[in-house]
Amino acid sequence: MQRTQYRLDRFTRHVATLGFSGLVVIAFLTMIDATGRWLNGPRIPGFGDIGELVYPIVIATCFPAGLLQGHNITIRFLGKAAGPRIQSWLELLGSTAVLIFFSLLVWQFVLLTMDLQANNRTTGTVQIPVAAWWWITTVIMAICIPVQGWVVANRAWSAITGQASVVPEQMTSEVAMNPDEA
Amino acid sequence: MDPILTGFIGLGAMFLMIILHIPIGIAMGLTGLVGVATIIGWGPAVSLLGTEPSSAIANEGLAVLALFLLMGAFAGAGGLSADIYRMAYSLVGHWRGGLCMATVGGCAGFGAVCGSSVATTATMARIALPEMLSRGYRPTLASGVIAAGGTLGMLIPPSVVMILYGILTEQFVIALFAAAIIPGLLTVGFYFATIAIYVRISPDAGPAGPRVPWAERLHIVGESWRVIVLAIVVSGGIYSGVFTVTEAAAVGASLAFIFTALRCKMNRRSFLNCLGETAANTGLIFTIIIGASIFSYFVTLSQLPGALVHNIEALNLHPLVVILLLQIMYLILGSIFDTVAAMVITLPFVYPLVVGMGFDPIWWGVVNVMVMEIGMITPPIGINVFVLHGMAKDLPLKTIFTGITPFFIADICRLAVVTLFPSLALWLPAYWNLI
Repeated sequence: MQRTQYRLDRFTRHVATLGFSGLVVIAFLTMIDATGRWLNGPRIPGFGDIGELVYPIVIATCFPAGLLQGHNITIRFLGKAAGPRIQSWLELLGSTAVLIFFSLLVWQFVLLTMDLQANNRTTGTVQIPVAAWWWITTVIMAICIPVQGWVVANRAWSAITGQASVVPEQMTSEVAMNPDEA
Repeated sequence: MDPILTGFIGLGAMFLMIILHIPIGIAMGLTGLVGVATIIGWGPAVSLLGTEPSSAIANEGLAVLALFLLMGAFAGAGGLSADIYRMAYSLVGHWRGGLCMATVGGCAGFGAVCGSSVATTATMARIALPEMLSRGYRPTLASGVIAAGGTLGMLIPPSVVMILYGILTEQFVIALFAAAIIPGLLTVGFYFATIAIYVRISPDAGPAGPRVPWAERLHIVGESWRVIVLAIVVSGGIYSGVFTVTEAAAVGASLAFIFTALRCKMNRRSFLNCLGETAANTGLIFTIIIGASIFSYFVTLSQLPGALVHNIEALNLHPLVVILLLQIMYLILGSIFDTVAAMVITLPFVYPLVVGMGFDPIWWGVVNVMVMEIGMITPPIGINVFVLHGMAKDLPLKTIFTGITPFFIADICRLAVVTLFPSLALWLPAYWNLI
């Protein structure tokens, strides 16, 4: 179980790293483009369109890791007051609600992207078709479902058996240690 | 069902879900979904789950949050916060309580390149706390000044919370940034005065340090050029109109990366940690934004804000009394909720009420952020206190809360000043023709 948790953690962190490395690239390109405009120098053609396509992908990449690491603002005073057993059931309730929400969200993202594809939607300036980019976003969002499913399964196991879950309530965002090396 | 009744039931259900450990963003989203379904049907309600989140993640104005968070993460990794602290220390460290003043200056300076209170508190706890304790500063004063000073990160532009307020209320973010400058400086002034009074009453609480010679001071200021350049390029770029807010954030993130790399502090691990930290905070904020956008849609449909405004108007209360009541509500909410979540949850009701009474939305944005700042150090939650406690486990919570008390009083005083004199917030944006 710990190995699965570690692998999922590594995978979701890689997804987030890939996405946010893209953000660093976008930041540098934006700096070049903005400085070019300020100095009346050359600009990146259709740069606004690129941002429009890339930002959703970047933002989507933070969700799978965020779900696994429990980066959500949750008020936990009831569970702390009621004891560990009730707390584990409340954690199960909370994580199930997250799973329902993200499942509905992904379903709607699929429909939305299919609509964009059917209507051949393009960006405003350089007419880049947007559907392919939104498919990437949707696939990344879809990763949230198995990830959160794993969290729910762990919470359920923890609530039923009373043992500690391998998915902590909230993890650090720092790079995790391989359980085999630990 | 009557939409207003649906609105009230929805509000109750949302709070119930939050108490039952459902993450705040998800509780807002699910309440919004069921509420909209009750009023206009399941079809349009479910489709909201596609349109609202997709517009949120594709919104360039919101992407700026990720860029500012990235800038703060790189600046922290590059040790820019330590530069600001060293600079402030060289200038005022020889005064009684000077290290505390240097900490406030450091918090304000780091707030100008970071945008997050929690990050500012965590960073200054790492840099300033050991220094103050080793110089014989009383732990109550040392911890209080860091927890309170850390809140400056939320007010001093660029502020992540202010961007969020600007986007949710459709206000000009640059006008909000400009409006926060004078209240931000006022906060620094009030904190300085508090420290001065504190060490006058208890001279051994903050003993004076050795005076740094002018030549060394100039050398230290010269060494801190990176953070000065970063603050000038980001803030100057925004206010002079050279950059849009998104461009300024991108330039800030790029420069912070370059400065950190030039200092040889950008290895693979620190780069990955910066990205991980930014991704975690971005995900957290976007989950709330997505939930809030669906919830706001429901609240608007329920006509609850209009009914609330109508009923409060019927009470014939003086508008300032209503503002005072709202501030008390935020202090209470801030002490039990995460402050950002408290703002996002209440904004659909409070914003129409405040604007409906004739108050300026830019002024309210600043006041709202100031109240939330105070909420970050108000017991029993006071997130900054817990962040500091997490960084310095041997400091009891009681010590930190005791240390905060004088700064809390100073906060209430400056809040009263900005509430009673809105021009303190509105003069600068008006002078720059931003409102």
